[in-house]
Amino acid sequence: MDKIDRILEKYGHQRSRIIQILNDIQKLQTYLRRDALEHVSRRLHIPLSRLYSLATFYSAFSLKPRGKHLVTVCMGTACHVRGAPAVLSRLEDRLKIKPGETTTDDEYTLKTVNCLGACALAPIVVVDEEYHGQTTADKVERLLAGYEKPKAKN
Amino acid sequence: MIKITVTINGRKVKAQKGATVLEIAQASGIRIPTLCHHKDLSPYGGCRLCIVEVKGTRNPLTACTLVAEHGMVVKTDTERVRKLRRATLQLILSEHPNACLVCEREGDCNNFQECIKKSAVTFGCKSCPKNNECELQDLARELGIKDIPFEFRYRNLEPQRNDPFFDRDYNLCVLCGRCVRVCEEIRHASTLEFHHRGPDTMVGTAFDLPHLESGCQFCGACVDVCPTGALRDRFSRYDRPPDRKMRTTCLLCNMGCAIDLNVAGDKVTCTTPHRSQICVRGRFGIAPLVHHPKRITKPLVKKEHGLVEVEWDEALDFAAQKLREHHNRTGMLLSSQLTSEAIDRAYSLCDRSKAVIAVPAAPVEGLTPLQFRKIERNAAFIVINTDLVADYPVLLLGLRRKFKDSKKFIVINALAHATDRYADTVLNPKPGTAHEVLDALVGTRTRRVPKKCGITADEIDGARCLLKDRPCYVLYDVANFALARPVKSVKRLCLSAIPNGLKICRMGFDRTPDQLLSSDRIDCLYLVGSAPFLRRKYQTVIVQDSFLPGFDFDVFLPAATFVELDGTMVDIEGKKKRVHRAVEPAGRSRSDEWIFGRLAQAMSMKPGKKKKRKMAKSKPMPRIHTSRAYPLQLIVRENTHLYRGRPLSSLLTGFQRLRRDRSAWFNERTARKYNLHDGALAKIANHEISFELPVRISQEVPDGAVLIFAHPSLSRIKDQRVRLECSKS
Repeated sequence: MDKIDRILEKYGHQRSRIIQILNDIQKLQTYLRRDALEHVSRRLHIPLSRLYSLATFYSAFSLKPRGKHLVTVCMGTACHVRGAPAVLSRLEDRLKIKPGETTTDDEYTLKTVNCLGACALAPIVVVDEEYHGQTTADKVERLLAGYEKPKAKN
Repeated sequence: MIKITVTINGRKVKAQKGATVLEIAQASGIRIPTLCHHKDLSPYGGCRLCIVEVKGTRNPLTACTLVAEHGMVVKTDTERVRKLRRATLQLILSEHPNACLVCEREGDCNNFQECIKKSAVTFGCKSCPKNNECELQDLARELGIKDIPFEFRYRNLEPQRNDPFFDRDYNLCVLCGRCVRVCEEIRHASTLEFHHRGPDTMVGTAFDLPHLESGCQFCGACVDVCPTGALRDRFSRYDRPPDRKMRTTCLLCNMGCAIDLNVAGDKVTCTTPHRSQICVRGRFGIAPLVHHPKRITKPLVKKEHGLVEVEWDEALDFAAQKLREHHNRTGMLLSSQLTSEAIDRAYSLCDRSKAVIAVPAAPVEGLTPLQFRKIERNAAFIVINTDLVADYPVLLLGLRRKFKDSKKFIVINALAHATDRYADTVLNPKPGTAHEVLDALVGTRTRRVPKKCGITADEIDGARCLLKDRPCYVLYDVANFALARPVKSVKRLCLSAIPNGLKICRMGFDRTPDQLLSSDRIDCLYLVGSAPFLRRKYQTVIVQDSFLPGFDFDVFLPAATFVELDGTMVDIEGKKKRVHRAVEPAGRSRSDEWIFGRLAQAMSMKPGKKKKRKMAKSKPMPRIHTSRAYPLQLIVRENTHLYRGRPLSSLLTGFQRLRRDRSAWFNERTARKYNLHDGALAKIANHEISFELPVRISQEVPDGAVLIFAHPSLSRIKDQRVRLECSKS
């Protein structure tokens, strides 16, 4: 909770900056925990129901624990036309999870979005804020391997 | 005010600047269909049914959010908007069980099937609790919806029936957002909010918690504004729409809120607020009490082989004879939850039979009318030992509405409770030290706060900053706190939850209930709406009530509830308010006024001299200081959820779940220390008192304390230390 207080401090306890505050808390804890939201609600006098409303409205927020790596597949029109469904189904097969779920070893969370605004790079997959353009189903294996390497070394 | 002229449907209408097109149209009798709009709530523009065509704009605009301008030309009923409205409503209905709305055999069905309303799942209007009261039905009829060209999407959600008082079936919700807005804007509770997005949008509480755990006050405001059957009062679910609405005054507390009794035939189906706000007691407490299955509506007399149902005359003669026999040795325990007239009659009956009278009221000198108007602007309120949210919600709403952001709230209370949310500063001193904290805050003698209070000087300084240059008021329930001596710099606003409190204070009474029950001179006890613990046997016990007491008695006189009689009551401001009869008294019950009158006749004694009474005062029990033998601090809080001296929780399960007031409340840490768990029976005692209550674990209570709710027989217990004798699971 000290860390959360520091985040609130950073934004000057301003209610209007709640989105940034929630974003920072999510970065800290990988997801929005209920006790964290209750704490923010008490400190900033924002009803808990409002915070829950915000947290469920924006798909960037998650109320469930997320894995170490967040894999986001764009399913926008351009990506869809250029083969995003195949990429997604390969990812589902490989990670054995559906969009919105987390692997049992807490390594990956799979998510879909509806457009990232980078249609020139379609189909696009984002892993931990790194953008991988022109992905195909065959490239999925190599893409994931890049994130598994450090784990193999350990 | 600047006036503007607007042309609606070719008619020139004058209006005030700043009014919306919808308001102007409604004021001049032009109908615009609406769904999400509600006159008391902020405009929302969500349902898109109020669209109108405005000259000079390309697309139709929503009338509820459109502020009128001078010279605006508006058309509300063109073919284009009619078509758009129909399509919009069809889209709304495609997510709402609509089979009955567009059924061509609707008329036939009405004649044969009335009772399927009782089915568990609502699949159409005929099985909906709000059939014939539904705004969607009216709109579909008005806009002439004959078919729905869209695929029906049933949300398939489980109806929520775990909370007390009302059911929620979000399969019927049309997301108009009225409940969300009323909860936030009018009730300031913000329990309900939209969550998720797009087609998954739904109304609910944070984390989908049950309402009981999400800070809901169960005021029922959301139920009253819901246009569909999504939110529905459980008690009146299966009743037909009311034939008439009777305005009356709620007698369950001292606020005297105006309520409308919804009456169907001879049944009060539910109570709704009359142009204002009410609380859980008035909204969900009255109708189930009137039609309670355990209510006794016939006179009973105890004979050799038990209780026998008798005629009124016999019961009255019997009671009158007993009162004559025990002339001078009778004690009457009178609930103040009667009409003013009944109280007057009770006093004159006591004068006649020389009985002593006791009223369960906190004995306060100078309980003055609360003068709402005289409270100055940008006032600071110091709320002491009083939970405004639970006990005086309507008063809190009034203060918040009147003073908006100009006021400041400082809460001083050993308990942490819902009022803290609305406070600017909360001071949680150790139990029983509120006086010292108040002295440090506003007193002139000392500015230091004693160590035993557990409050730091910084906290006091912070609170004192808020008081600077503001007129300061202390606000407290006289049963929970007493201002030892007047403080010059602050004004007092005394609250009392007992109805007719001011009248009782003026009339006085001979004994406190505690004194009456421990007096040896009393042989005959006359209990009018009170069910205390009796400490000994009496020769005669006369009970005048709606429910049977838990002890032996000789005669039972069934009293009518306050919706079954005419009269007046005196509210917290000292105003007289009328109580109206909505239905005939149930069974053979009669109003208290009638019973007192007939008893006086039957006694055939001369009317006694009018006795002048003062307020009796109980000596408080001596305070124990040894904390080693008695490690727990006992906090007694006034119970404001009463019906004729009985906790509402003992009569209605909803109130039992809402606030378990017949429990001893412990903090989690204290409970762990003594190995107590929720629901276990705990015996709490010191050398004078002893009682056994189920345990409730609550974060509201501080560590090392135990909270109980006041009972008429426990009036002397204040600031006591106790210990836990034993506990059983």
